[in-house]
Amino acid sequence: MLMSWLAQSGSTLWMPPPASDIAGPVDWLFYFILYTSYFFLALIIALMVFFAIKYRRRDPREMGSGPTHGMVLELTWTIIPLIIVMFIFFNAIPDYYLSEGDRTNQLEINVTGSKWQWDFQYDNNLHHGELHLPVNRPIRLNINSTDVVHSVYIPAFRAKKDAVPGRSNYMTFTPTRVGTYPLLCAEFCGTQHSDMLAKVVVHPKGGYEKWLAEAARSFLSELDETQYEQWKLLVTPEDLDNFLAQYPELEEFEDKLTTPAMYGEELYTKAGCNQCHSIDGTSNTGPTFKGMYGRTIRGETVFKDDTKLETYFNADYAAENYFLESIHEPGAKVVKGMKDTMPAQKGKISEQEVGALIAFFKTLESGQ
Amino acid sequence: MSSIAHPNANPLPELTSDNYLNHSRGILSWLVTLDHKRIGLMYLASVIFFLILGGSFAIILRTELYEVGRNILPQLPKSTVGGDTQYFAWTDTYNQMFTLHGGILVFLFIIPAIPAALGNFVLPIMLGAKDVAFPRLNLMSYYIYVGGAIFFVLALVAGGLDTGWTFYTPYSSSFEKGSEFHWGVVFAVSGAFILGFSSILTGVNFISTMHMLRPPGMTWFRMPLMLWALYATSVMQILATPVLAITLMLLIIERLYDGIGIFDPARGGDPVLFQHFFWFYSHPAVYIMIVPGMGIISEVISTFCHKAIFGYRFIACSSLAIALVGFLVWGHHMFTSGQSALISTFFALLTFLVAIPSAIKVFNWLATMYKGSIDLRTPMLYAMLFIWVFTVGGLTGMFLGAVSTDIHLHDTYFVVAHFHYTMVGGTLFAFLAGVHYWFPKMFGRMYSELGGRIAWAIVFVGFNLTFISQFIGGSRGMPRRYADFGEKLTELGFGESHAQLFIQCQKISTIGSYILGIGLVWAAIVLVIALFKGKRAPSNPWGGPTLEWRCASPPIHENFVDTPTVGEPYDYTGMQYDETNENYVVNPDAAPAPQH
Repeated sequence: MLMSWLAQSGSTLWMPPPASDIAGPVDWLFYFILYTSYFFLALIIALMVFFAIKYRRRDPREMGSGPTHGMVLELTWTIIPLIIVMFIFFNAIPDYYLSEGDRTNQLEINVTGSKWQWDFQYDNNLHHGELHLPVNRPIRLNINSTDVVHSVYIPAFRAKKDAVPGRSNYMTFTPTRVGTYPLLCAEFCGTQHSDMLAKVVVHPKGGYEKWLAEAARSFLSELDETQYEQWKLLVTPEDLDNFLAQYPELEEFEDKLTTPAMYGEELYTKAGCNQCHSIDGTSNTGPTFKGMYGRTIRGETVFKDDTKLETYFNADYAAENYFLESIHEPGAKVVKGMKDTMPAQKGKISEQEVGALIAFFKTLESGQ
Repeated sequence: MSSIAHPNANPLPELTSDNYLNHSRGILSWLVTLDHKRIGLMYLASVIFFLILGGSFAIILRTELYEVGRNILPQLPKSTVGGDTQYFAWTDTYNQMFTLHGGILVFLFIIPAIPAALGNFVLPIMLGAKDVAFPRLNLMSYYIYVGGAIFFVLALVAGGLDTGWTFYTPYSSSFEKGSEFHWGVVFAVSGAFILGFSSILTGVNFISTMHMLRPPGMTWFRMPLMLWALYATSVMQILATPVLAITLMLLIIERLYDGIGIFDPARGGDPVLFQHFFWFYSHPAVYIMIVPGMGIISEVISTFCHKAIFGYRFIACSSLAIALVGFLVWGHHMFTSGQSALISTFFALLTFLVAIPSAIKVFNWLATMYKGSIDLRTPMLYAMLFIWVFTVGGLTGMFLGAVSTDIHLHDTYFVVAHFHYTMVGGTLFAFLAGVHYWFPKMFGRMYSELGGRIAWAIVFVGFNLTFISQFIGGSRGMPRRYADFGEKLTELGFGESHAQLFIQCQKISTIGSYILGIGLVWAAIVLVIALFKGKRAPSNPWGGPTLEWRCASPPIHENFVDTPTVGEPYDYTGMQYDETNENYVVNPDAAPAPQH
C-alpha cells in the first residue's frame, strides 16, 4: 500500500525534502547510519537464519558443538562497532554545533509558544502568527514559552528546540529553499497540542522585506489604542526613522508612528501632570517642566534639606533615576520651596512610560 | 550421546503429588504465602492483567488514528458546577489514553514483568535455594506493588491524567484551584512513587539472595546469565529509583500547594531540572526493562542450541557495563531542551559507548547458534525475534544518539518506533520467551508447540508492520502524541504527497497493531488451554542445563530435596534423553565438563 503510493507520488521514503543548510549534513549522516544499519541488520539476520537452518536439530539426542569462547572474535565485534559509532559521533557534533552557533549577519526573530499558538516577533516589535524568512540569510530564533514546555519543530529545516517557560532558548539555521513549510509543536502541551501548528514561508530575495512592510501595515491597523501605545514604547526613535525610510508605503501611518517623546507629551495631559506642572515656565504647585531636564543634569536643583542631586547619585543615569524616583515616590526628594503633595504614581505610570516622559522633558529645554 | 533405555525410566509423578501449587490450599494460602514461586505467579497474573489493560488502550489509540479527522473517542466529564457538567475535549480523552497506555505499561508491566514475576520464580531455583533471602520482604514488595497499582488505576477513574508517562513540568504540576483541580496526576504520581519502593525492595532482596544463597560450587562466574542480568538490574533499581521517588514527591507537593515552586518557573522553579531528575531514573529504567530480558534470551538460546553460551564472561560483564554506563546517558533525552551544547556532546559520546555492550551480547548469541543443535521451539523463536527486534531497536538508537539527527527525530514517531522496538521487543518478547520457556516448570504442563509457533508468526508480522511504518513517518517529521493529523498539515505546506504519507503510515500501523493484538491473544489462549489440558511436563523437557531443570515440574514446596552442587553453568555433558517421558536427565557418571 505504502510502496505503491510512493511509486506514484515519486516521493522519497525517508526524510522530508531538505530546505536549510543544516539539512544537508544531517541527511548525509542519516543515510550513512541508515545504510550501516541495513548492512548490520542484514548480516545479523542472515547469519541467524542461516544457522537456524543449517544447524537445525535433527534428533533429540543431538548436542551442539563448536567453540564457546574466542578472544579474537570478542575483540573484533567490540572494536569494529566502536570505530563505527565513534565515526558517527564525530560526524554528528559539527552539524549539531551548526544549529547552536551564532552566525554573522543573522536575522533574529523571537518565537513565543503558548497554549496553543505560536507568536513570531519581528523587527520593530511586529507580531505575526506565521514565520516568514528571507532565503539564504542566517536566522536565529529566540524561543520562549509563556506557560508549559512546547517545542518548535520545522522538519524541512531539521531544526527543533524546546520552548521552555522561564528561560530563553535559541537555534540557528539558514533557509536555503524558497517555499512553504509546516512548523509543529513537538513537545506535548495539552488539549490542542496537535493543532499547535504554524506556517513557515521562505521568501525569495527581496520578498521578505516586502512581506514585512505589508505585515506591518496590517499589524498597525489592527492594534487598538492601548496595544498601540505599548508597541510604541518598545520602539526607539532611530528604529522608527529607519522603519519609515525603509517602508515609504507606510506613510499613511505616519501620524501613528510617533516617537516616545510624542507619547510623553500625550501622557503629560493624560496622566494629569499638567494640573501641577507647567511646560511654559509659569510657576504652579509643582516645578515647571520647562528646562527641568537641563537644571537637573547640571545639578542646579536644590532640595528641601539643601542637598543636591550629586549627593545621592553620581552616575550618568542620575537624572533618569531621579525622574523615576520622583514620579514613583515623589516624597523622597522634594524640591526646595515646594510642598510634598504629589500622589505617588508607582503602579500607575510604568517604567516605560517614565522613559517616554523623560524623552518629552528633553524637548522642553529653553532654546528649543 | 545415548538415551536411557525405556524400562529403566522412572514414570513422571502425577500432578496431584505434592508440589508448590497444591502444598497448601485455599485462597488465603496464596495471599499470605512466603513461597517465592507463588509470589512470582501472583506477580505474573498482575502484570498480565496490566498488559491487557495497557494493550487495550493501544488498540483504541490506533483505531482513533486510523482515519484522519474522525473521532471515535468520547468526551469525559470534567467537573460539575451548579448542575452543569463540563466536559473535556475529545482530544483530552486521547491524551489521557496515551498517558495511561504508557504509564500502565511502563510502571505496572515492563518494569516488574521480568524481574518481579519471572525473576521471582526462577532466581532461587537457579541458585538451588529454598527461597529468596527475605521471603517476608518479598511478599511485602508484592503488596506494595498492588498498592501502587491501585493508585495508578484510581488516576484512571479520577480523570485528568493527561501528562504523558513522563509527567513533564510545569504541565503536570500547574496548580489548579477548586473545581478545576484534578486528582489524576496526584494519584498516578503517588502510584509511581509507591511502586518505586516495591522495585527497591525486590532489588535488595535479589542482591542479598545472590550474595548469600549461592549453592556449593557456584562462584560468581558460574552463575547463570539470567542471574547476572537480574543482579545488574537490581543494582540499577536500588540506585536509580530513589531519585525518581524524590522527584515525584516534589512534583506532588508543587501540584498541591500554590506557594511552592520547584519545577514551575512561574513560582521560581526550573522545568528542565525535572527533566534531569526524571531521566536520571528513567534512562537506567529502560535498562531495568531490557537487561533482564537479555538474561532470559541468554538462557533460552543456550538451551535450545544445546550448547554452552558463547562468551559467557563477556555477556555477564556487559550486563554490568550497561548498568554502570547507563547511569550517565540520561541527557540524550534532552538534546533539544536547551541544555548546553557541550553537555549534549558528552551525553552523545556516552550514549554511543553504552551501545557497545549490547552489540557484544547480540554477536555472542549469534556465535552460540553457530554449530549448535538448534531446536526452533516457541521460546527459541521468540529469542530470535528478540534478536531481530532488538537489533533494529539498537541500530535506530544510533540515529538518536547522534545529536544532529536526533534534533530532527526527537519527539517524532521515529522515537516512538525506536523505543517500542527496544522496550516491546526487549521486554515483551523476552517475557514471552521466558513464559513459554518456564511454563512447563511453573505448571507441570506442556503448551501446544504448533499453537505457540502460529501465535509467534502472527506477532512477528503484526509487530513489524506496526512500527516500521512509524519509523518512516517519524523520519518525515510526524510528531508523536498528536490526537489527529488533520488536513491542516496540507494547508501548512506539507504538500499533498507528504500529508498522504503520514496518513498511509498511520493506517498501516493501525492494521499492524490489530494483527499484533490477535497474535498476543492467540498466544494467551494457547497458554490458558495448556494450563488445563496440557500434556504432563517432565522435569527437563528442553534439555536445559541450569538448576531449575533439575527439580521437579512443578517444583516441590521448597524446590529441592537436597541442596544441589554445581559446576560450570552451561554444561551439557552427560545429558541424556529419556524417550519415554520426553525428558532430559543428567547421567551422574558422566565426566565433569572441561574447564573454560
